[in-house]
Amino acid sequence: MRVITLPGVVDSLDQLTRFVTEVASDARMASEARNRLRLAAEEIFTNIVLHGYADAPREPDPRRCADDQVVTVESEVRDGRVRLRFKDHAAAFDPTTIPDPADLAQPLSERGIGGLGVYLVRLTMDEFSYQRLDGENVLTIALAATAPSRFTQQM
Amino acid sequence: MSFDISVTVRGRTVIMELAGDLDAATAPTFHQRVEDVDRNEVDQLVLDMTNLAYMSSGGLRGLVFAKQKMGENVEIVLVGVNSTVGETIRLTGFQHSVSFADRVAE
Repeated sequence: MRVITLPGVVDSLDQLTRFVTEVASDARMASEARNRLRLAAEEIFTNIVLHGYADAPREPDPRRCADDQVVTVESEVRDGRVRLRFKDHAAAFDPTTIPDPADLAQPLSERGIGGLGVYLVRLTMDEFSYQRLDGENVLTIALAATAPSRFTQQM
Repeated sequence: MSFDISVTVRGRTVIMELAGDLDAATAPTFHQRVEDVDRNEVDQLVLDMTNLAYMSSGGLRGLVFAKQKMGENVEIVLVGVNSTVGETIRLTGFQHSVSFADRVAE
């Protein structure tokens, strides 16, 4: 298991990506699965930072934040499956309830910009679940290390 | 990880070469360059993604922003999209609103 605690700012995305890359290497993940895991992890992290911690007071330095505005990510590799667990201290919020974009064929000129990230997570991960535990939001995603091609086959 | 963007204007076509990772951290740079374009002087926005390794929903929002800023009559052409970026575009249905090309037209 690996654990990392990151400042809750978008500038932490680089560190998050390095962390996910290490975890994916541990699990010998296929490159397609690795890319999907990276995307899902970034979408979840970005949501926490931009929405969960949106009202939190900001440090002047964009790479820093207050001590309680952090996101902890834990990894677990078991039975050929990689699981990432994200914990934050923001107000309780369950992103798994965000509805899918209404119409994917809708022209961009008429589209809203919300919900796309969560939609991508739901679509690409084998597991996407939420719990509120001990005053923390706990979001879990999981993906098989082998290349899942259920979407590529359709395209 | 990094993100670079360079802009070339050729007649009424604006070509933006994107390189690196387009995500929530780097999307504001892309937004700014789109913001700088005068929609009245443009018929086509070409986004050369040949060297774009990765794009998250932050990049998708950038495409929505570009389309809405430029208006219906400006065509958006994506060039050299790799399989990872292409998957993100297709999973969200964005391929219905943009064109694809293998290379930037001479």
